[in-house]
Amino acid sequence: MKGLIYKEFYLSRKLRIIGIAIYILLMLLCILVKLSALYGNIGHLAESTVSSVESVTFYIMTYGGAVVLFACQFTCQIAADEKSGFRRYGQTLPVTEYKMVGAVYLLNLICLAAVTVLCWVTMLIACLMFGRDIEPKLLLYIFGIGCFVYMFFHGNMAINYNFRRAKTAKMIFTVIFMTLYFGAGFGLIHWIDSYSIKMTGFSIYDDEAEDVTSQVMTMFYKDEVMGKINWLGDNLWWLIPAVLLTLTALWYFLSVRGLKRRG
Amino acid sequence: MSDYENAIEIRDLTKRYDGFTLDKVSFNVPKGSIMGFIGQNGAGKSTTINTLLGIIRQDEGKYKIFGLDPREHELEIKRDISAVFDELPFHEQLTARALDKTLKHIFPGWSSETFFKYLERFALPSKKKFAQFSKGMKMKLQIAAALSHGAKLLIMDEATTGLDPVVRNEILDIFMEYLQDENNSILMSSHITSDLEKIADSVTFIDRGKILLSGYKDDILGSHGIMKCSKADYAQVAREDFISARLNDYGAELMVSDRAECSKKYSGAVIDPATLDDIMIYYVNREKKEWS
Repeated sequence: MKGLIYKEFYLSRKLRIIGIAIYILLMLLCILVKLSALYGNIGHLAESTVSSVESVTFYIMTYGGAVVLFACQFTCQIAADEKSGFRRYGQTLPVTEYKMVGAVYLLNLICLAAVTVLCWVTMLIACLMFGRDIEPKLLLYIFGIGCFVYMFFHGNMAINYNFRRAKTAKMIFTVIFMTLYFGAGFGLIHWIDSYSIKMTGFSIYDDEAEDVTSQVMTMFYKDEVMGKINWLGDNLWWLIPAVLLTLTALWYFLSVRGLKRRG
Repeated sequence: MSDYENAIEIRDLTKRYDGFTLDKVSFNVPKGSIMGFIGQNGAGKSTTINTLLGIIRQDEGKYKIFGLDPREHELEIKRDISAVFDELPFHEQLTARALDKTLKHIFPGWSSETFFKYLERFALPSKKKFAQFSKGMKMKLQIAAALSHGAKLLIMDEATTGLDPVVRNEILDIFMEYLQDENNSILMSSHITSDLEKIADSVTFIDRGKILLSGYKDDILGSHGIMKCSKADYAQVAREDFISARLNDYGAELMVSDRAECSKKYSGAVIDPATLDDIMIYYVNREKKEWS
């Protein structure tokens, strides 16, 4: 397993380096913006504008950086294995399919831990830099982003292992991803619209709603979204790790099943 | 595992695909020997080899490696097998150093020292990416990796195809060295029958999914021959006495499978020794019987 982890790590090292380079550039840019807000041109703008710029910079520094790092640190070399013939060779090695898939999962889990810690440190620095309170839930959000990307990668991996033709796998993954993306998008819009009608009597599509849209959005975020998250956190917090673990196990066994299938 | 007679024993191995069937293939590879597995493209060599390596599953039949059933002792067997393919199965971004680090944790018997000795012997760079290797270098690298974990069985699928005679010769010498240990065996599929004539102890010939010949190379070469005769003499030869006949303007060349018997029966006929190439060509045309 150690050998397979090494192989995965070695082959994905370029992407990791690129990810880290982009992350460092992004952080430098955020620091530059903060310095500019303190001493440079941005500091000459209206107070509310400076505050907005700082707020956006804070979120880019914390969540944006995390997304970039997570997206570039997870590895999935199935297509490269297939192209190089290693998948065929791998079946002649004295390693079980459980270990082959497990090696990728373990490496990505190590990356998840390492990147989460790095992002936590960045978040603490960002909180100090931008004078914000250090809230534990912010740390949890970072970890949540990591877990989501982890799911995303391993879901893709399971599809690739089960459909040998790369084109078919890509198509299925795209269809699933687009369905989830548009489903979530339309669902969210419908949710906001229902909330807007309930609170103001206007649909978000009505021209009259234009004046109150920003207020509705703030209220929607505070009342509906945070209300639901807090309710979930207070009552069914265990559901989140349970769903994550179940999905991980499902992807894992689907990947092993796909790899075990012989011609 | 040490007291087995045959490194590989295959019995009635069958695999069905749309348009091709590997039909009840049976043969043995004796321990300490090298078997040449010959046949034209699409004859079933790679299907047989892929089944032995566990890459595909047979529909029927059984096989044993080192006297063990692969279904029960898969990992144990795989530890002592090395596979060499016609194409390099490693990622082109890897280097020999990285490959050593990968495989030393996979094969319990892996020896980095042996691996680097082979690299030195083959003049292969350890820090260069495989993408920059030539075909010959890639093949040598595969062989270096295959011989560095103390494997008792080498299974090679068209490993020498596409290599120049100098490299092929070098590789064949390595195989001869490997076979100095009487516990080591090789199953080698190849189109280049001249290589097998040099080093193989036994030969198995497969055509359209069926085994046509399997036995010791010297016996096969000794029993087969090409009988050259005029058209008039050819007309006198019984059809069951030859495999197939190549007709030309001057006469006919017939492949006979029992040289001694034919010499007696057709006294005065010239019967030249046959090569594995000849045997392959005449057997492939056995259904036509006469060809030109």
